[in-house]
Amino acid sequence: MKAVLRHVFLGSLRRRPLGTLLSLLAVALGVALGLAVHLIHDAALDEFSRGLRLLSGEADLQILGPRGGFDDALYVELLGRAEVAEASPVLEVQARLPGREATLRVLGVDVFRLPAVQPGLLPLADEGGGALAALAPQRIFLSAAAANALGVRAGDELVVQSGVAEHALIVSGALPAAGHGQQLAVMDIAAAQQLFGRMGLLTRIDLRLAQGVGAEQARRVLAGMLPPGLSVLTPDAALGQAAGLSRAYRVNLGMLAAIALLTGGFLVFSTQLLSVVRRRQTFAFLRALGLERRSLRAALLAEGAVLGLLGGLGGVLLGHVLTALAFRLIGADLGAGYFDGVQPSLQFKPWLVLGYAMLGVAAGLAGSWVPARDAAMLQPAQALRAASDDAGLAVRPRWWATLCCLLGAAVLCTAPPLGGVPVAGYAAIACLLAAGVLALPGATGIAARVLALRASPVWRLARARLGGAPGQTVVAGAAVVASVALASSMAIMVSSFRLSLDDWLSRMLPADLYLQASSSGASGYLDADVPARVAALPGVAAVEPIRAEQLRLSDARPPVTLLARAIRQAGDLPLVEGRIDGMAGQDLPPAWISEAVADLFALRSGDELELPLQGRAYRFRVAGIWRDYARQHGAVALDLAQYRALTGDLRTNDLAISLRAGADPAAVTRALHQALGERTIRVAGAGEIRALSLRIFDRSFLVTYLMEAVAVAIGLFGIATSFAALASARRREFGMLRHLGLTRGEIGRLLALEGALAAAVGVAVGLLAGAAVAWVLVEVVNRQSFHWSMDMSLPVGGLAVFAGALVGLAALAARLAGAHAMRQSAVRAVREDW
Amino acid sequence: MLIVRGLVKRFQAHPHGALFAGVDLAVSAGECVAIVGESGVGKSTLLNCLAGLEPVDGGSIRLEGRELAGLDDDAFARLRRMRYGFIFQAFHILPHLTLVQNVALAMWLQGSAEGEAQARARRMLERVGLGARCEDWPRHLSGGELQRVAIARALVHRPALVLADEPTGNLDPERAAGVLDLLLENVREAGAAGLLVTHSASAAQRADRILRLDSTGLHARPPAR
Repeated sequence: MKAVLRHVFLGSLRRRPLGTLLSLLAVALGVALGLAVHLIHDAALDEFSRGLRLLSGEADLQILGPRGGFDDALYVELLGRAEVAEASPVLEVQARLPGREATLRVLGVDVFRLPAVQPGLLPLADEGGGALAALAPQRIFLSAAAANALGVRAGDELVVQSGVAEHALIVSGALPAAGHGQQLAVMDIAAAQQLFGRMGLLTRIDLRLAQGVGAEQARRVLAGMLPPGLSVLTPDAALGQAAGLSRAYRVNLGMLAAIALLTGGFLVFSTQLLSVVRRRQTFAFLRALGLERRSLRAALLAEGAVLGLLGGLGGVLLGHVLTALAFRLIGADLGAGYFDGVQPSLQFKPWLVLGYAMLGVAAGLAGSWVPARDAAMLQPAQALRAASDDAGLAVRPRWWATLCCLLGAAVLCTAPPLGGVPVAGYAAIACLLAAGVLALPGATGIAARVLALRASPVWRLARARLGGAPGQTVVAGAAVVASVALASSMAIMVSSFRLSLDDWLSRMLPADLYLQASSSGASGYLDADVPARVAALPGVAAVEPIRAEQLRLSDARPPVTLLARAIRQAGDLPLVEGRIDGMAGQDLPPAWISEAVADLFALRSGDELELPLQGRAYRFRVAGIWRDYARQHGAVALDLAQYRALTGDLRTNDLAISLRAGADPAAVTRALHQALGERTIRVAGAGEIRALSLRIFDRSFLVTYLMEAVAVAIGLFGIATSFAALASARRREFGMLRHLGLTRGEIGRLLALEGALAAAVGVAVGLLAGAAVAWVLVEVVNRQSFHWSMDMSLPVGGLAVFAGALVGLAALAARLAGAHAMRQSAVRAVREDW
Repeated sequence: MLIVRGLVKRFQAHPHGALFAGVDLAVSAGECVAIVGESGVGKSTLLNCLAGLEPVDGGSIRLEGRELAGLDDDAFARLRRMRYGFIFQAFHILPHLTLVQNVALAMWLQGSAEGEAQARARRMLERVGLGARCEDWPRHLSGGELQRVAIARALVHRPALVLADEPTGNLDPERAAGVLDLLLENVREAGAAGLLVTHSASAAQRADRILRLDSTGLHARPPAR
């Protein structure tokens, strides 16, 4: 049996090198993409987690506040608690560096508290710095990664920004425990409070508990004494929350890679099925010689497993290469912005490698399953006298199975997410893809019936083959359906998203110019007098201040953004539910929540909402829900006047500046820089911000486009390998047609037309499946992953060009794939007769 | 109908340098000629040469008064679709076409309208006794039935010359006789010239004339009826 397996079955892989190579490549690409996504995110998360562990050190619990900070009186209170053995206060600021794009994570720490709680943050002063250098107000200590990224060394000056003022600090040493992947800096907490205008404020307190005190018990006790807007978490929970930020994105990319692998599995199916069809008589002969059904099936599965294993191993190698390239070219977050400041490195993980290699084997086995089953069912006597290789390509329409898959998808779409991941949504997509492939035979029959009759013999032959041998379309089209469905669904989703984003940007950016001292998370801000100074500049018609803060609404969720801006009339927010005007006379002040807040906190218009502002809890009425593409974890919008009245916070992050008619934006921009500083503010036109946002959007979908291209290429491989194998199997048919008077050119056109028709049916079914998958992506997957709604938009022109190009390429691929079979002499092709 | 003069086919590996030389042949409309000879003597090659499927090294082939020897590949292909009919030993019925489509194939190649092609194909299938099975798939037919479909396909477009190589080679003697009679009867009725290559003496005896091929040419051999 071993000899039969080696020579007849595994040897067959060598005898059809093109099909084997393309199958290997398809499996390898699917495995490589999946592994690369996994490796990249694992490495980024590992480094990210390492950073968080470095920050939390030996802490048992962490008190976390909003970015804006909380009163440091809590620190003193906690030190007096019996449960607390040690406490270390931290003020974390994302410092803007004037004249640079990057910001720097600066931790203000009490160096005397670090050894007991966060020893990893202990700074090492440079030679000559002195033992107490860390306490000096203008000293800063950089991790190796930060020093390297900023191009500074000990003794150099580093300028940071607070408000719109610049402050020079001296790089005075390093953070030896920070390693090479963390970009951060440490300075004395009092100096940091003063420098960044955060006197008396902390953002975090790390606690070590007294001996014998359980973390959970202490957490419950301490939670009761915290002011509103603060959370007490174990470091692991904080880590989990941080990892959760990118989970949906990671799962989405993983699913895309899985679909690429699935498409590879279809390609294995195509090549294996064709190879089984071509070897029907060999199998019948072997069966007649005594090979059992079971052994035949096992041998064919072994073929698939070998294909999958080789593809899997190739994919593992390629995956590591792709990961290294991605780290070098795109960054650890694949362009999505989740892991800023993290510099991970490629790691070899044996179990992961083994798992992905096995996924390749699984794809090979799955692709070989149906062909192996069909071969095992073969009746030897019938196969030995079969008139043609086509006999194995007969398929029946499977409308019931198609319908069952569609119904399954519909039911799955109604299921809620599991742990924030739309598992049922992805299962629905798998059902839709299966429905598409199952619908192929029936769709082929319909296409053959509706295609118009034409006088051309080539057209008639191709049309007759479409109706008479739908199996050919199924074999060639299965990979096309999956890849077109994937590509078109992503195209529809991305187009819908882009158009919705464009519309959203227009509504969120109504002014002519926008001014900010830094992004809302960084250390730049505008003082209370700045709006009036700007309003007084020539050419400025009106100024609307915007304040952005961070609120912790729950221990279990990441903070949400508070956005305070003028909200007076319809159109001030892109509402999807509720209203803006007519809120007078309500019992509570209005708040407008983003869709993410509505989903994550189960809130609707009219519900009551408690917001912790400046350490006090205020109640609001949800007046509406708005679409927000900028803040994935949610945002709450308040009217600025209301916010200021409640908090007394007069600082501003952004200014929306409307210009007088005829005013020159460039002149106003120059005036703003003169008034507020050249390096410390950023001024941009609404169009500029919009264009930048769309550029970032496009960049974040770069990996998606790459995966689409791979899936489409795999689909085309499917057409090429199927037609190469079919053309080879049909040499006698072509010989006969040449006898009957078809020219070589006409046989070439026949192959091209058959390829085009098979691809057209695959593309049509793929587009329908793709539209359905796009709907699931928009309405289920995106809603459950990112809590974003969008308006569906079909990029008809783009899809038509894509479909036309694919059909054209398929025709070309079929024509080229059949060239070898066509070159053979008609006489030789039928030589067993003449 | 078909006049062949001094046809030469060289073959370098052949001991005599030429497979055959000086082949002369004339076949009238409605006449069926059987060609016999030892294996490897070039019977099938002669048919290939007459159909333009293999180049010749000398001589002349005239069909319906037209010289064919200088035609290029595509011109010969167009001529075959209009004026030739073929019957193969292994039938070569396309499995993805119904019987009527297989027969209409020859009409399709001529660019006939679908209605006409279908009507003629149905009539031909009736003539070969398969009129009730027009919409059947080839996989449901026996070898003898498949060869009858091949006969219908070879004659449906009214060819001038029908070439048949071992048309009964895959059939048992009883079926072979019936199929051969059907073929010869239809060729004669269609007024075509028929050339039949066979190893079977009984098959050859059904033809109007028998010619024996050797390296020096075709030689008459009286039918032993």
